[in-house]
Amino acid sequence: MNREEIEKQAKTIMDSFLKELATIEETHTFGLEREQSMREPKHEPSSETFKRAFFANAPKVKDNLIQMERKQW
Amino acid sequence: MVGTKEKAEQLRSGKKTAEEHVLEVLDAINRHNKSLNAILFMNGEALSQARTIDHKRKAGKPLGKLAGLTIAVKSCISVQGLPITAGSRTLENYTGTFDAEVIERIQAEDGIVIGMANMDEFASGASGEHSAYGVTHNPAAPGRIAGGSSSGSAASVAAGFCDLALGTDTGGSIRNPSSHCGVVGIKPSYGRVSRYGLLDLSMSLDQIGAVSKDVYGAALLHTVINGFSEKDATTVDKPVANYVDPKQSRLRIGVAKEFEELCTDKRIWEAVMKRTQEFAAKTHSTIVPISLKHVKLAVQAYYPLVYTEFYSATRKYDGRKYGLKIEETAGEEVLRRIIGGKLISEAEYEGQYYRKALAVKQAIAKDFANAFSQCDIIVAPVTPTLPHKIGDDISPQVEYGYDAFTIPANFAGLCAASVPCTEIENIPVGLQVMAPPFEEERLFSALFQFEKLKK
Repeated sequence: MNREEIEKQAKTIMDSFLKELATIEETHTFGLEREQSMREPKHEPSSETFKRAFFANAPKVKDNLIQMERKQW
Repeated sequence: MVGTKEKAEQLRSGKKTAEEHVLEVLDAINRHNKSLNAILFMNGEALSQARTIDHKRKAGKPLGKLAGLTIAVKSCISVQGLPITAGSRTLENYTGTFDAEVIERIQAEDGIVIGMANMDEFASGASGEHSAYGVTHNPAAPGRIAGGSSSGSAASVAAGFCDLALGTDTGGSIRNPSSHCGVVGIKPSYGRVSRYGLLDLSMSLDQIGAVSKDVYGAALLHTVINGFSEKDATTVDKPVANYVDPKQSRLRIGVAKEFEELCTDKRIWEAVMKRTQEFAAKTHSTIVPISLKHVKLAVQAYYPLVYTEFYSATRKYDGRKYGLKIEETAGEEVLRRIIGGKLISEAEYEGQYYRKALAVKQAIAKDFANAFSQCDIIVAPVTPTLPHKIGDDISPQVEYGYDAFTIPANFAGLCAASVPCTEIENIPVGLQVMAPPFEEERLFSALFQFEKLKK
């Protein structure tokens, strides 16, 4: 199947799904969900964890700094 | 058959050494993987890791919960030094540069990664036929699909290529192959298991979970991998429980008529109901009729959302930093999702597809919240049909329908599982148990009871 045919098929599938979804009412205000799911930070800032993972992946680390050639990482 | 509990005890006591065990597993893979194609790459260090664990035991040092047990890993979970292909040619030359958090936790408990398991390309499929590295065959139903997308994980467990496996479940990708291969598969609650190091398919739904031959093994692996993670902002800081020996109690079992209507093969529905009635009688539980009126739209809502998130997730495979350009190397199903996702993301379509789909997702979550005020667990089939024969001409829409019973749990963030129920035409059929978010203890309690009935 070539790209054009795949595109046509994807559109047909989505359209058929949309027809069935048409019955549902959109009552949800998008964006509110994010506010509701905010959580209070309980832990220490996790920058050290990320730093450790970042440094572990680095090609070379010296004196608490990552050394690398431009575009080499 | 030696159960996981007994095997773990043998390895812990030294009755069997980890080295002997790994050699047995490697032998099984060498003999049968050619025909099953469940494992893509072996871990060349598995044997030396086994010897290290044996030394530890001999020296009297404390051993981890998974000491000596072998684990196959779905090829979209990063393991340092092993090829992380996601079942695609796009990443055929990509090697993991770090361990995913689940792998770190497994290794900290002395589990041995045995190899990388086959999968549908970028987790896009429900049959195990969409891998660039060939079809995964079903060891429990020769000639049939293994299911997907965690095809190699379930098939490896069923074939004895490992004790346990890791899969990922976005809309049923652990439960579906577990059902077809006759093993136990867990989809944890959304936010229960760290996804740090997972190549995502759909970040609002993906979860990493355990596959095992028995409930004990699944509970043990889940115990090791679950819990809050600083490295994954979607994990939730909720207490974890005892999953390997959970409290048993009487349950109110919810059964939704809408699932019956969706079940194409009525034999599957009847088998699941028969087992549920046996469960209720044995445990003095009650069956409660419930209504989940929006689940019939789950598939139609799932794919617009997954197409869109997948399109976004795959923009990094542009062939510049690593791998090859995805549009030039990926198979048909992946391209369909990328092109479809691009289409939905276009301004003129956004309101049509995406918002409607999100509204259905929310309506389904609400249906479950209401249902769980009347019942403790919900029981359903895992798939609406038996696994098709490998090579059958199946349209994308039909294959998408395989997830009709599993997608709702992902939409509602529930924990859910497939546990072996029966055989129809000598083909394994799983039964799905769903519990409210973060109620894995209740889920495992029910799974242990269902497992007893099958035996």
